[in-house]
Amino acid sequence: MAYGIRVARPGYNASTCADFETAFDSRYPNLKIAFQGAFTTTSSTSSQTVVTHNLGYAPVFWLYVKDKYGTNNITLATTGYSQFFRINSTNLIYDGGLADVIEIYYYIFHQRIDQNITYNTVSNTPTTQGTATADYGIRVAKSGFDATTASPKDLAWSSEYPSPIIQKIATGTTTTASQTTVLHGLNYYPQYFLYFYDVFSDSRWQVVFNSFDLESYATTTDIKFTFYGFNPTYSYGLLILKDPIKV
Amino acid sequence: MAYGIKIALPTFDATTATTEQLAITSEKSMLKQERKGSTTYTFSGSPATVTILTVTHNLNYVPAAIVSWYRSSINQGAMLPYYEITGGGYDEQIFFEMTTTQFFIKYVSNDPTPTNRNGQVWTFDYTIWYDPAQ
Repeated sequence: MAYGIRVARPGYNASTCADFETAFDSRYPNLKIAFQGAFTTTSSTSSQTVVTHNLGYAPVFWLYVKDKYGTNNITLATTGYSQFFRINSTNLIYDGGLADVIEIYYYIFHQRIDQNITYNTVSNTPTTQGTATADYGIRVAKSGFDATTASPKDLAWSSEYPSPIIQKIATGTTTTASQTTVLHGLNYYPQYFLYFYDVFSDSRWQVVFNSFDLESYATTTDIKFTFYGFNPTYSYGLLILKDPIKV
Repeated sequence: MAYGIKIALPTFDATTATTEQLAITSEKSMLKQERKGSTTYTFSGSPATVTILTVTHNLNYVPAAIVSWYRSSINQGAMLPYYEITGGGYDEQIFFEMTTTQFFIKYVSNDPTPTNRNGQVWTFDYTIWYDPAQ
């Protein structure tokens, strides 16, 4: 790359740090938020549109729900237990299930689920975090806020407050009850999010975590997963972050 | 917007690239890490309920977060939530929750004879963002 930008997280040297120690690097993207919001489902078993995103592709998304465990707290949502949240190229949709009133909070990102792409790797070798002695970096405020005075949540982004970095999206077909292996090339255990397509014959994607129908885990070389569905095969999209589970 | 910053990924032109072809742009927000932390928990016996970790964040709103786990004994790591059927219609779960002041990692089993995880060592890494989940 003849030119670009690389900004380290506080205390790291941008010239030598690992990719996961950077705040930004123009050779690979951070997760950019397309939509963030809230929706309360009605007590109906009919499908309900949570948000129309109209991105033209099925994007990576996360959901938080209230009171899933009977504590009135907020937690990351999984698809299942009659709480079915799925996305396509235009909408994020809730499918009734239990006809419950559920408070949900969504993040939709500018990243397709269904397209293979691997971003550049500059360095996977961790360095030692020093003390950030100088007050420099990049800070960009959201529209309407002053970057010099805005609170962190009112910033669009900042090198002070790191954001998830994308390593790759892997897509393919997995066979029910057979283990699929996706290489990541990071030499450490990376964070990842797994999506499956058309599980309920609705042409939508759902996010899945380890449960009765899914076993998945990261190693230092790959992500392995086994899905136990009703169909012989399923399409998957696997978001692998540069951010480590463990180095 | 009259001003801002937009940096394209390699091979793309920042003046014409789509948002997906940009490394960063001031027109789009990103999650902003409030804190990242880790805890190692060793199970003792067969508990039905354990609060593995409590963190006070005091943001006065419910922040977004993610949590991963790692077990050196099996050389595997994954993301929470974790759910497992223990048989007889029972299950166990490891999950995280947030309130306006606190963040929790919890283990819950509804099995009258919970899984014996005695001695199992689990390491949990959590990231809490300034960005709200509620």
